[in-house]
Amino acid sequence: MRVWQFSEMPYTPAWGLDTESLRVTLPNSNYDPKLGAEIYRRQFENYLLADDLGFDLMSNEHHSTATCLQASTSVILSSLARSTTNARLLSLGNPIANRPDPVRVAEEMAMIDNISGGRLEVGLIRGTPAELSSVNANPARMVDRFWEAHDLILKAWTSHDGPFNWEGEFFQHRQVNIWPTPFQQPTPPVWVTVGSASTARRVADEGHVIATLLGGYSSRSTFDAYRARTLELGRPYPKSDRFGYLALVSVGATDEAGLERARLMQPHLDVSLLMPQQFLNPPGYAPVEANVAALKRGAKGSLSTHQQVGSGEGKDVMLGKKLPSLASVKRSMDQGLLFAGSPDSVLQQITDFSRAMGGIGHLLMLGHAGYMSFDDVADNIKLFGNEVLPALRELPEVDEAELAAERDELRRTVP
Amino acid sequence: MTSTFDAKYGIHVSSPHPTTDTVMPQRLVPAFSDRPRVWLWPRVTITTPTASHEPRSLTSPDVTQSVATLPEPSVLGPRRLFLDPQDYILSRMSLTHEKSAASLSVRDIDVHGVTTELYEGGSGTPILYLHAGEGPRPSAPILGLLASAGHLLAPVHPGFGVKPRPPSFSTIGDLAYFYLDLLDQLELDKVAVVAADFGGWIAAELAVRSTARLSHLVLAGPTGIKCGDREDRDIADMFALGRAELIELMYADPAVSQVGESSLREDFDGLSDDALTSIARSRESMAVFGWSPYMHNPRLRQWLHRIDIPTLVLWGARDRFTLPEYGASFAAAIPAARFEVLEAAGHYPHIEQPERFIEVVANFLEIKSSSVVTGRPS
Repeated sequence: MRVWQFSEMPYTPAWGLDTESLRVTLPNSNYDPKLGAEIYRRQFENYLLADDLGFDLMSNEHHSTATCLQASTSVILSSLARSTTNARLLSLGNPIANRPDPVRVAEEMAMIDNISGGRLEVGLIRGTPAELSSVNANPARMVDRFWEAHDLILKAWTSHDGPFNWEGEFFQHRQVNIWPTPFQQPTPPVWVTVGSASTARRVADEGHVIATLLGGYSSRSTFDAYRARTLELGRPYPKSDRFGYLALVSVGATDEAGLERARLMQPHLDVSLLMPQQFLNPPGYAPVEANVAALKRGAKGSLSTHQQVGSGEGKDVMLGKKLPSLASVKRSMDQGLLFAGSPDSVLQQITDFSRAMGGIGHLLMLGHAGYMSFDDVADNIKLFGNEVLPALRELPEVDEAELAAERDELRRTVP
Repeated sequence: MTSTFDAKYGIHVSSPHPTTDTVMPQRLVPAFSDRPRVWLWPRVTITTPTASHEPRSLTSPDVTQSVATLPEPSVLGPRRLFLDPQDYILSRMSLTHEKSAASLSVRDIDVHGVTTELYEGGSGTPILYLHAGEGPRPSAPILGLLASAGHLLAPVHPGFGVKPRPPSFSTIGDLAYFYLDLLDQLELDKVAVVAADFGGWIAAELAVRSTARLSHLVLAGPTGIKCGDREDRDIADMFALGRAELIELMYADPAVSQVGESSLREDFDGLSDDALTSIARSRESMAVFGWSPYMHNPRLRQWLHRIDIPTLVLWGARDRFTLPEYGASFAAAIPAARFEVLEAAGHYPHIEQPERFIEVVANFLEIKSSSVVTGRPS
């Protein structure tokens, strides 16, 4: 299993503000550039530490928010491409349905792939609901726009015979002929984040890696949809390297220390959803049927049918006035959102989770979240890197005999 | 005139209202300043310091009548406003919306491969009603009232009802051409178009393309044009505002936002799955057609001069979603347009003041009171 260290680079000094949203509307007068510059410096230090310890590294992208200072995945990764030596670099990812310029995305990613000597992995993502207002991207028809951008990027990377023409519904180009081409041929590995079985099937058609973010145990059905579609296409049963999963990870010298650290991290789950309903559910982001169900629940009805994430312990936790209880930390662990404890315990939890998912090849590790100090983060990364990562790297594929049974089970579901 | 920026709603608030000797504020000046302008404020007839005060090419003397001269509903004779007056309770709080729609029929209509629902009722002058962007609200009393004034045709915009949006429909022009096709298919002539909010935008787009089959245009709180500077927001950002804020901006009486198929209800008890689907799909389609540029076509205003039929632009005095100044600018860009404000109404005057609305509209359409049940003694 590969492990990808990741931080959203939260601007926690603004988390304590009594506001209904840390996204979209929070005035940037609450951002102090001097403090922000220091946050970036410490974040890159921890990225380099993780590189030294054998981690791979992940970057993402959010806009107009105190939850994430990674406003451009390209900027973060281009810096890491020069300053790291071993780690593979994952962008998860480029919100291509929100960007007007897929060809520019293809160029930027090709540049980073060259600069890093072929260490880049490119996530193409749809983006979260709150992004749409910040970047003025239309939430309606996003999926169509996503796949047209995807097709254009893939074609830009793989066309080498002079300019090609693209007059699509959403994007128009007459001279697509990118320089440089990707270092990895024909393309860097491509990832797509997935939240539903139908999307998983579509991604299986492409053979890309799929990842679920904090999806908990329900991710299994998403992964199985991918596996079933792959078999349906007459291809070999997909190896675990096609599957990634993002969770919070907190390691301590003892179980108690690991859980205590997790209390600092858990507010990430609360704060991520701190926004008004109109930004959480922009028009057209969710299907009409899901919105009808939400209307039936009334004005206060949430669109989300997902399990509750976060501590559920109210505003004080959201505002950082008190830390969530150990009980709520354990609830997140039960849901598979958080792996926490001593190195041995965390190794066991991750191994068990992977097994429950039918085998995952990538752990996307939120090793920094919430109210952790940078020293906490460094300690977390060191403990994991020294005492958990080596064992995970040697983790075999899920047992062949068990796999055969599951493969047969899936085959029965294939028409 | 001064204007201030209301940071809470992100909209421009102007005050005081223009007076007779006020030069039009810069941000409201139509794009073509050499064109004769018409800006009829309630009880005020002047628009610019130039000599061209009079509305140009209005075809009927009646249409210059101000709403201020109409009798108040309380002094009107026996009410024959509604198709089923026994069931209609005149207290606005207790509007029984379902009753007034009972005499309308509904059927599917296919126009060049696009199918939508068409509510229909009444006889006489053909009236094409184009509903607001929040959805068709088929139980609103205005439908029954319009059917009492003429032959009402109230289609559901494709993408705003129970049927999926046609995949190839993504611009306001698609809807405008759809309705031009519909009028051709039904071979309707001398049609009065009565349109509200987003429907008003469609109607304006339709009319700049062709008025061949139209007689009159009534635009109630239309969106669709850009008036202010690039940092002004003429139309409040419905996608960034919460339900309570929208109610405050759109309604004079918040209680009205809680009845019928209003999209801003606290709960949706009693509405069918079809009605809920219509509300949810309408919200999505508003993003398809109006996300960016937000609820307008930057090129529309320069073509409004092509509308060569008598036009009435109606505004709710308490509309803070789109301010009356915006409506005045809209009317000013249409040569034969008159601008009127209805008291005690917000962004949906046809919903909040249906009786006053139908009186003004019937008067404008020159539908005689003996043949139209307007509530006035004949």
